[in-house]
Amino acid sequence: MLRVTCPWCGAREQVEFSCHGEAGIARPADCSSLDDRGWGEYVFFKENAKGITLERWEHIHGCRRWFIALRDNVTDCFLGFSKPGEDFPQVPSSYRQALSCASIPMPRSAGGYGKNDKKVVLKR
Amino acid sequence: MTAESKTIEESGRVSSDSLSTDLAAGLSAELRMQHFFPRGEGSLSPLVSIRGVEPLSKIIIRIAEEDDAGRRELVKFFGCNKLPLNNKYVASTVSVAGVSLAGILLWLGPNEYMYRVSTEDYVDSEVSADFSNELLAGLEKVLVGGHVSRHVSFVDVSDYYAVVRVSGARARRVLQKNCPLDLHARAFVAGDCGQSVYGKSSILLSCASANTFAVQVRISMSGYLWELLKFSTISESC
Amino acid sequence: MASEQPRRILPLRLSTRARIDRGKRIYFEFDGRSYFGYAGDTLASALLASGESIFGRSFKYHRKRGVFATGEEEPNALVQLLEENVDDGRLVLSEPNLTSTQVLLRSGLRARSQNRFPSLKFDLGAVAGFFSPLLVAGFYYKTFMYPSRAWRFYEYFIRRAAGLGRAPRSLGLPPRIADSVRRVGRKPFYEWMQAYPDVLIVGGGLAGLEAAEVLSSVSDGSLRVMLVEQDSDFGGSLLHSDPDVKVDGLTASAGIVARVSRLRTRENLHLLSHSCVSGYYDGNFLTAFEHVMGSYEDNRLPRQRMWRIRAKHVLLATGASERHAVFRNNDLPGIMLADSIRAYIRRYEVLLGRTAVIFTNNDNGYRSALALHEAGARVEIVDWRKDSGVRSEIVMCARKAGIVIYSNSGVFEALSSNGELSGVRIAERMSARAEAEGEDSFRIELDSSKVRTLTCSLLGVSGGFVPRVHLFSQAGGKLVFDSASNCYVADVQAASKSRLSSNTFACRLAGSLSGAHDYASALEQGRAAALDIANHLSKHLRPSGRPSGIGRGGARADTNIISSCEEMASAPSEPLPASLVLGASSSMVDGKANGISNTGLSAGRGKFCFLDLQNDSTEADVRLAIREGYRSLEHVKRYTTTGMATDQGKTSNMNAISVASAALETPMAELGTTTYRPPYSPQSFGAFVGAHCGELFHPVRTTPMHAAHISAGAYFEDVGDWKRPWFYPQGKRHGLETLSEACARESYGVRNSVGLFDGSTLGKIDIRGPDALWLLNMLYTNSFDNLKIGQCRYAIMLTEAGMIFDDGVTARVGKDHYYMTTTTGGAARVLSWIEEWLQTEWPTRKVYATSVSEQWAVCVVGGPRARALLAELCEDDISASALPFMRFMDTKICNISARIFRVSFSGESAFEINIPARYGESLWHLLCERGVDFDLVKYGTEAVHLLRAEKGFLIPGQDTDGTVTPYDANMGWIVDKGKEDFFGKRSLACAGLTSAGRKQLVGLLTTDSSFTLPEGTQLLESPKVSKFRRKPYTKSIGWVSSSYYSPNLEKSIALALVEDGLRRKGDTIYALTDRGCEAVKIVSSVFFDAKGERMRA
Repeated sequence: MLRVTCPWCGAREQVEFSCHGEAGIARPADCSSLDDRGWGEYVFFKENAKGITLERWEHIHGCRRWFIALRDNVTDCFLGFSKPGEDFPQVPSSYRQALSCASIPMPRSAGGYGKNDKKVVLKR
Repeated sequence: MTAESKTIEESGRVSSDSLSTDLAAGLSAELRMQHFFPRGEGSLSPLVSIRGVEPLSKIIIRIAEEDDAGRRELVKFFGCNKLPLNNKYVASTVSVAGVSLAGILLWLGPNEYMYRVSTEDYVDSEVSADFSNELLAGLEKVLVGGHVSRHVSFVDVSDYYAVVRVSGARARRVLQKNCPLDLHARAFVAGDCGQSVYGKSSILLSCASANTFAVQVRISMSGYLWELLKFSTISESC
Repeated sequence: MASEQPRRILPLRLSTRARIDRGKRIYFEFDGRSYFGYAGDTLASALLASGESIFGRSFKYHRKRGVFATGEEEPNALVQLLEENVDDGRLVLSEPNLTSTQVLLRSGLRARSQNRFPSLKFDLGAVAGFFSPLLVAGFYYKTFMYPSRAWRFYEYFIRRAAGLGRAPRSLGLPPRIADSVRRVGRKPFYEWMQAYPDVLIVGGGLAGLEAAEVLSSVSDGSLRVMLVEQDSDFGGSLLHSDPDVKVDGLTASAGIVARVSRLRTRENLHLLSHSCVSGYYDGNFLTAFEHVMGSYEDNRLPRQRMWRIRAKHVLLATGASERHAVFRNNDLPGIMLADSIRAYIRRYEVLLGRTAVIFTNNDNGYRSALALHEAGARVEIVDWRKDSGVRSEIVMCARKAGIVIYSNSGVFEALSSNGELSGVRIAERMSARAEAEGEDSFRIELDSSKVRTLTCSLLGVSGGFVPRVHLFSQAGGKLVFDSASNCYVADVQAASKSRLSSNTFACRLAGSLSGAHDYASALEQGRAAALDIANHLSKHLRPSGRPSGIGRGGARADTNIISSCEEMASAPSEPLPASLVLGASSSMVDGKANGISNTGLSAGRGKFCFLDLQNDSTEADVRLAIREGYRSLEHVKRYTTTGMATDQGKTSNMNAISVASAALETPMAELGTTTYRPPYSPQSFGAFVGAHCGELFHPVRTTPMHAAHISAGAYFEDVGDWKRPWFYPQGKRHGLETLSEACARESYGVRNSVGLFDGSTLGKIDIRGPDALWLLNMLYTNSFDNLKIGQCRYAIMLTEAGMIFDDGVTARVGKDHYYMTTTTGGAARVLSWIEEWLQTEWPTRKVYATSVSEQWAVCVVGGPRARALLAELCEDDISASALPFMRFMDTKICNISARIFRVSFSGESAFEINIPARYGESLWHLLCERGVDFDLVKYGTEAVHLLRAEKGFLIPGQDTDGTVTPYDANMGWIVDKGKEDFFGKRSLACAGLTSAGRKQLVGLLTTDSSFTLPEGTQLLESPKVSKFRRKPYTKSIGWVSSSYYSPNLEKSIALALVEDGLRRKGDTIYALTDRGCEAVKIVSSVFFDAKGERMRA
């Protein structure tokens, strides 16, 4: 069982959470402009990388907030957490050295979290 | 389970017998309140007490994190010093319907709070705490009334959840058996609260004192929670 | 062997206070005979003291076996308990496969040996010994092949032969508990407990105790420390140490007692004994299984408690276990681990043989010899090492005591008389050749010219000590081969490296686990590790006004080091060879006699050189596996089943690796080990389950009206976690109604008078905010722009892939305020869906969604007479003009505020009354009582499904399966084409979702109207079905999603998804059922009241 750190509630047992797969996939600003293939990639395709991944987690039996986690799915080690809208968590340099991992995943789309919302000006 | 205990499905719905006899006696039509926990002591150990406390007025308040003005109004309305921080609760006193109502305001999320009438005043009480309408009206007036653009939400959830008070020397142990929060005496103290699970049901747990806790659960799971708490008290008699 | 003299001896001089209490006799039964022992005895020690030496029969060959070790490493002496059946008091088989060396004696204990018929002494299974050449490893992969029909016959015997103990068939209980169960009714139970210590120390030996001492005193006791020990006493190997070992200036046992009682006074230190830490998982999460003392007498206590521990730091001090040696007949009763012999003498005061031989390659074996000597046995020592002449103190002691020592020799065969040990044959090593060929241990031969035979009834073997790295390895720690101790040890370098990089593997080792060879260094390691952890934690301690780090309570300068230099598991030792077999130096002149070169290994003579005692796997088996081509150790393990028994090879794994390395001619360091997995030792299923069984297996969710349903005699259906009334069978002449009879009656009642249904389980969400309209328009396919306050609208929700996943009615309550309903099963999913979008994609949108699902109890009153019934109860006017279809009204019923929605799922004029949940049951009773005058009938989910099917209303999840779009469901009208965007909109325009040949929702009518198609029936184009395996095979063109017999229409109806169904109305297709292909006609999915007049009435 893993121990997950909710950015609001702190470290809690995995049983309180639900994992919702890959993070960083923003809804396209203008869906109708995409062709079938492009739309299909948004809906269905995931990187599914082995190793360090960015994931979305939901604290279902808790504050019900969604947040981002950086996890190495080979060692099951959580490397960082962030709230939606904050910068994505970074791989700590000590981990990087210890495992000499070559590539750190980049989120597919930098958008999301209101950036694609044409109608509203984002206020942070 | 002991032979004399009812199934989960049967326990927790205790008012029907008296109700049906009343109806059969042809009394005038009246809607009676039911309790979602059995009345009386649920614990099988003298060192811990399990009692249902209901009904209590509960309101879920949603207000944006950045709405400072609204939050100040909220604090004023509930008569507390400030809004609670993450996974904490604060005491509240509201004057409503000529009564000075003691309650607490619990943190549920960054933009979500729950107001709940104080459990201690209503243990084994024959009078119900039903001030939801007045509270909702008051909140509407104070928070929305003059500020049409303020985006807040108050929802009455008094019947959605029911509360069990767990108290006594072994209360922490009983709760720690099936709850994955760290409930050590130094880690979970008066003023702390947290949403988690007890067994397989979602709960909101709060600590009133070193030996007193309130477990809030959805009424549909109340039978399961009661039975699981009861089961967990068996080994606490020794 | 029948003992010539009593085995129970008087306590040896000084030191270790034995665990047993001669003042308290305990009587017990074993294999039907009565024995007695003392409080503190284990079942094994009491039986050994009583003179028993045969404890079981081996798995395959049914050879006689006796006790081999103390503790969980015991491979042979497994027993099964016999307990009283609660109902009739008969003795029944209870817990199987318990190590008798761990079963604590208690009064009323009854046990029996396993794997023998009819008795231990005379076992028919022994005939398997004659077939041993056929029963080699993996024989079952080459047999039992033809004919396959004969498997019915084989299986019976194979099942009986498998395993050692037998699975219990009924509940057996200890006598006192059985009594109490009969009185009170509460059966034995298990429970869980959670703990979150700052430091968890696994193992209560010297290193663990010292670490606990240090950690509980630093930082003024602010650290939360937990010490878990498997045994009933703390102390580890100190419990059987020699008299000259002193702890804190006292004798070892007194010293331990003093330490432990001091530790018990520390509030922040939790001492847990009788608990085995069995699993080490991610993130320093460990499970420990506590055998709760007293649970066999008091049924208020759980049998076992599973501790689920999440520690910030873990200190493993699990010690080391002794290793066996491989020689011919090394499984005979009378052959034991040397250290265990010493433990039996010192702790249990049992002397297991008067003539003993100790075969050892290290100094620790000498301690056992001295203990035997002190107890009055005649001992000889066979020391594998070359010059034990110039050795340590302990060797000097042995010589002084007059014990004969054969150095540079090894035991290669054990002799038996009547299946028990009677002597050993030893031979000297051929030293010259060995020097020449290097230090490869597997090439050392024994000189056949220097063979001796020694008589003995007890042989103690010590092949070295292997650290118990199981937990370390479970956590992901790597193992590395250590040539000094000739086994795999924890790779601490790699561990500390990974500890730096991630915070999850914060684990340290101390004691003999990490190579400490004497008590002084164990103590030192324990302390050092503890201080290291304390330093690490003090940086992270919560500020509590206390000085952190090593303060006044820290390292005690006067800590009591052992005043002797007793060694626990002494090094250096010389590794024993893979197997000790006599190399015929003269008789294998040409080396071709066995096809193997003169390496001292010999297939024929390697018979019954056991590796895994419990699974009867020999070194010949491992060589066979390698000859057959298995190279990886994991394959070899599984092919030979070495290390796969309940003891998981604790005393034999290293030997197996050693034999494999010899056969593969690869150094052990390159082979690696097999993977260690939890649990460390067998644990009861009950403990894993805890409270979650029977009634408490899973939460049962009930509506406020549940008690009313029960008293009405409802049968329930599981809908997710909910119990929903399925039907309300009424009594008839011949008994209760069946499902279809009840459903017919109920649906008839709804269509012709009035029906009452409990709809409380549906999800309800309160949506409020200036962007509420925007949210609804995004979630649903329809447009909500023109929904007026007081009005309701039925709408469908799609996934981004364009598929229907939920539906419901949404009402507008205020300007920016809506009340959404969902399906029962979809309530949580829809709320999560909404929150996902609002929190992660559109955080600036001003709308809140709050669940109110259980705030409201819902009574659905529907039928032609529904309005008449309700008019009496509602304060306000609910006539058709005041409350039309698809509207709601706030009113009062008996002075309680309620909200009534005019929506209909049944197709009748229906009123869904929402009332605060605390009045739900009362309202239900009121409606039932008043409804008598209106022929009110209560109806359940079966009738609901039938009624809505007659109207062609779909149920997401029943008529959709995640691949159905609104167009497929013939609901194109519900998709608003003018809306700019909604979830799934873009997908609906994709080529795949608009192509021909998609399955579409239609109705079906069977030719035989009394025959109801089973749900899930496959539909075919033609009635000709090709046989299995012949091509072309028949393709299914659809399937039946809902099917009922409708008493209103007097025929069976069905809804189905059929390819291009909407174009094919009127066609006949075929349904593949048990009674052949039934012809069915495709019709409209609305069977009744197509215009919906009854609904709107």
